[in-house]
Amino acid sequence: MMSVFGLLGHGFAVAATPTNLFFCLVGAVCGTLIGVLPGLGPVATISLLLPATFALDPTAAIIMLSGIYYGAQYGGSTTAILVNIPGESTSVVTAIDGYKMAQQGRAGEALAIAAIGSFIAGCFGTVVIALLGPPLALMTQRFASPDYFSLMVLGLVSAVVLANGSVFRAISMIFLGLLLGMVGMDINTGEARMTFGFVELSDGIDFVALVMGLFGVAEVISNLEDVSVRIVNHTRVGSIWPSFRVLKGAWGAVMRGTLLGTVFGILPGGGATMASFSAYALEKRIAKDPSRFGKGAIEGVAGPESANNAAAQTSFVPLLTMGIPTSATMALMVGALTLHGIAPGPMIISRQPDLFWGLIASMFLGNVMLVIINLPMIGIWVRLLAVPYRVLYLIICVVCAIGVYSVNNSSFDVYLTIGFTLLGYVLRKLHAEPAPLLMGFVLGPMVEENFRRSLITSHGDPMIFLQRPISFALLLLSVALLISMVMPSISRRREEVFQE
Amino acid sequence: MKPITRFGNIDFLSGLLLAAIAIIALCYIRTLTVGTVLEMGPGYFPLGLALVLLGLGLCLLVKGLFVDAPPVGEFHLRPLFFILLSFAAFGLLIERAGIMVAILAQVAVAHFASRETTVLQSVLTGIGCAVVSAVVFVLILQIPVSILP
Amino acid sequence: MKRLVVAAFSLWVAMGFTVASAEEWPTKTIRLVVPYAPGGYTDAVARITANYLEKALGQTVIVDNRAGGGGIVGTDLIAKLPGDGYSLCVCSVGAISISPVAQGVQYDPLKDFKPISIVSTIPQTVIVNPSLPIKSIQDLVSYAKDHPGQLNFGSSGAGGLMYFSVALFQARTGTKMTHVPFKGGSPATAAVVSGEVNLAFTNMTDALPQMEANTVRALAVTSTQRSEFAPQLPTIAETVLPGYSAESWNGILAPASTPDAIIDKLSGVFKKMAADPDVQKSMAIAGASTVFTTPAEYRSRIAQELEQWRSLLKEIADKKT
Repeated sequence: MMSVFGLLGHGFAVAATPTNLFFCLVGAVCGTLIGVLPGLGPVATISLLLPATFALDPTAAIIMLSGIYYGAQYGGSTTAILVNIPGESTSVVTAIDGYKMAQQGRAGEALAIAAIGSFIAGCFGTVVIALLGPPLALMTQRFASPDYFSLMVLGLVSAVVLANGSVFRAISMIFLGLLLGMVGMDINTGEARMTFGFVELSDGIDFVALVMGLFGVAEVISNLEDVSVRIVNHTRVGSIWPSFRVLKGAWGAVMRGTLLGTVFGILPGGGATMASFSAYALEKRIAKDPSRFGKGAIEGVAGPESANNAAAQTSFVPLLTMGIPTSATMALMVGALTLHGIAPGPMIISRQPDLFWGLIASMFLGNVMLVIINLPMIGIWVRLLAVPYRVLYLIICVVCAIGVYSVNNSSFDVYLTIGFTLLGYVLRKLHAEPAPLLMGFVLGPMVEENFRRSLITSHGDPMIFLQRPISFALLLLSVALLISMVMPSISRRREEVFQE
Repeated sequence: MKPITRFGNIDFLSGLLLAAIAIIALCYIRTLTVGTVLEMGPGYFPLGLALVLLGLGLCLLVKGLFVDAPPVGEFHLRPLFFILLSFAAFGLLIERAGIMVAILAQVAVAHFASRETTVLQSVLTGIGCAVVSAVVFVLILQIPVSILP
Repeated sequence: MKRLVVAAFSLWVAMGFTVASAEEWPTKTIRLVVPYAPGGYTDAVARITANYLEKALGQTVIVDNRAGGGGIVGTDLIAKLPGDGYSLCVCSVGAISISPVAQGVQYDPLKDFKPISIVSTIPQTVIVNPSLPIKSIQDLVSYAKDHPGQLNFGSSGAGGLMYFSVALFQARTGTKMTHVPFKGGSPATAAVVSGEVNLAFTNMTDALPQMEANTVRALAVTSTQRSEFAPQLPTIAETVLPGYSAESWNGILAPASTPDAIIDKLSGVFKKMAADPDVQKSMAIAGASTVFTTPAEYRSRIAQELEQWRSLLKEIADKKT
């Protein structure tokens, strides 16, 4: 075990060379910037910068590309909080309470908590990789399709918690999301489903187009129609530094989010997104007064932001220890390693100790850099809200349009956004919340994929979900959570009936 | 006691919307193979989901008819129309006329979405956005579109 | 009549334009469309190719990833683009030789494209989870015969080579295994490691690191010749199925309207590229062999593969009824 610290020390020696420090900084800055720009995500940026790294030494290249990825998690929350446009899928839930805080003139506070939470979570996640990487990776190997299915069910159940209104309406929105998630090519047969004849839909509805429409653009329209709800630029911008009391309130949420994120990050498939959604659901579930959520609760920002950053760090575990990429970004890292002549696989730790330990050490340094870069930037971001809304909304529209376009370089996605804006606007008028819909949309394809695969591998026996211990435990937890949510509303209704 | 808003309340209309979406989906799912639990076809999952959604929608619809619920919010067509049109303008022009023209057109259309805008400010915003976007997205991030027609 | 005049006029304009540009081509940036996500194997090949083309042609070459539908979306896009030599596609076996017969696509791989050259090939490796009592490809055949339907094989989804190579193997050996599709080749390989599925015919790139770590057992390769990366592995053709061949390739195609002068010029460039030691080295790192074919050879290979998969599908369908 001493060797871990010895090796980590060696890693710091590698990461602290001027070249590697420089590229770590470049990665962190690029990551923050593209995180702030909605639409263009780390995948696009890394693939764009990949050719530029050919000339670099592989360690420097991977340090920089990783910096882009976890840096994007810092930046992703900025637009979510300021203008209700989540930059990445992981910051969708941050928008719920973060944007409310901004409307109340507490944007600085929300951004600061997001940055501090991300920093703590990032460092913790890195420690976990260093100390427990290989055993954790072995643990994920125990997860098979039935367990993933049950995990997704738990995710869907906790999506109900995201909503503020009635449980029944939240469930309806989840099913609408699930159905939207079915659009696209069926992986088992390759048949097109509900694509209305558009080739562009064969890989499903683009997530960014959906989010921009439902959240960002629909918000712009309702801001334009009613001056009174548009508080952002009329009230004080707020002090940038959160008070001690606020920090104390967020502390627990940061810790819980970090732990959740660390665990979810290691699991394949939407790890970071699941982490942020579950962290939000957890905070709301254990809060003394859940009604504060959706109205600017600091825990609603602290929990998810910590969770997605912790997950961003630990999602490197399966890649670095087993050579198995768990997300599109990690697949890109495999590509980057391969192009640099390193075959990512189980042997990478013993064959490329410089790369492995150097990368881990650089993550510490990168997180420190990111918090130093991001905290002063908050002042600039907050001042942006002082721009009159009649100018700001034009800028938001342009940024959304380019953001959507740049994901797949396709005008089709821009037209999709128009459709989803309309849907989002109508849902808003019907007091229906888009967050559960989005959770259904994200998890839908994975639910189906794992459900079908489970039944194929079990040769059609549905008992497989109850026979596997992990799956059984997760299903039990889902049922318990569902009952605990439905019970209060039933007893309340009983009371109402009684009163009548 | 508030009067019951029978057809304009949110439950009735949400139910109607969900049921309508489910029915449209069902029309497109019709052609897919459903299969059995043992050998699920591509239509199995979507069919199940669409039926559940239809059920949920109908429940809400019926509930809206009998139980009081808040009325639906007021629709403002001006911002809705012009913002959506501005995105259409961007989508149509970005590949045909380049990023700068597309953005200028979008801002020009979006300008009419609000009554508070002033022509001078919008023109300046449009030009600013066009120049900055051209530099950031095309020159630095190299998304494959041209700057000018 | 009016329509005919318009068509003739636009053809004349198009021809005038392409003839003029073919002589001094290339005069502007060339776009290399990759119908797959960045970071994948085809993307790696495309970037190596783009790098070489930039040097050889003296023009900027940008890689444009248009992922979706297992390569169909991007390939479809190229089929519809004007053939001016500035839009080329780094296509792969899945979208060109398999999807057109397996799924029905809007393009015709032989009519809508002009093949230029295959640039790289990569064999598949038969890997099994090491806990199985299967030590050789012969063992696999006998085990599968003794336990029909019990072995699960992972694939990258319907319409991919990972499924079709196993389907061909099953049809020729008379075995029956259960198909478990995944979203891509890499999760399917991971599932063999974890034991969720028993085996897969997976890309050499994905298989090599796991083979080195002994997390999977490799039995054979699917190409007609042994692979330079794992020469100890026999081919399926030399052991159990003479004539068996399923190899993944990446090649450059242009829209059908591209003038032959440009195709010829590019063919010459690719011939030189295949002999370039730097390119060979980069391709080897990605697990691929550098290859050159003439446009005619390439075209006949596509036709032959289409025929192989079409008859296989017919055979499977006949067996079911």
